[in-house]
Amino acid sequence: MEMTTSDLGGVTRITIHGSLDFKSAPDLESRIASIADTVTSAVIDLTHIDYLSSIGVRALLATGKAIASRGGKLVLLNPQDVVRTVLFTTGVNHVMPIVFDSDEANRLASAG
Amino acid sequence: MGELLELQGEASTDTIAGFVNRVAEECSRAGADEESCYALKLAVEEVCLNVLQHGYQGKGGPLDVTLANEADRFVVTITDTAPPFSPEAAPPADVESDWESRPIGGLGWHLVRQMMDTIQHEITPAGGNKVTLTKLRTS
Repeated sequence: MEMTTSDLGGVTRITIHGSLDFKSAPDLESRIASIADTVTSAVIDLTHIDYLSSIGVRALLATGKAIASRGGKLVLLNPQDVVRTVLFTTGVNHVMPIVFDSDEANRLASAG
Repeated sequence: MGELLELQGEASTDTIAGFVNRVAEECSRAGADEESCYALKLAVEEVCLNVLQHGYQGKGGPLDVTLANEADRFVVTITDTAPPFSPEAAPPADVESDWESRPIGGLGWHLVRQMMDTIQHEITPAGGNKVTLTKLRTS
């Protein structure tokens, strides 16, 4: 799992590559936690995530909850096929937006 | 057709990672569609981690995984010697509440139930657990 962060119009863009499973999810959670203290709006780009299990879902939920607790918003961008199925099956769509357009993701994250 | 994999090991995160990868490889090699391979890989990860974390309380113990290719389905078995449990007793996951009331967790069995076609549990003669999962082939 690889992770890069950038600033896109005042919104933190986190791009991750690879598998988000029980081996990599704790690493993602701690790396995001290290930057999340200052983040109030973020987009996680899931385009290049090819595998997501329940621990990965938990990492995404924990991140979203931490940002929401400070009045911010986390938006998920462009999950592919089966990853999308896992997100909807676990009801992640009920607590954070899942969108497929980069500009829309930024707009929703900025809206707080 | 028939048995594709018979894996035996001591439950640990490294062992489980190896089992998960082998299941995914054999599933692809058997010509299964992407969705079936994903579901089988995920189910093996979720059930094996439950065995390690809850069944063996993180301490390890024997863990066997088999994968078979039958006429219209893949069949996975996961066998341990941990104290008996019942998948039906796993509390239902909360997948609809908002942030305030939603516990983060309990999603593993929920995903397995949703992505597999059948789940059977039996207590082995040795007093452990055998979980049998089936996934119907879509191609």
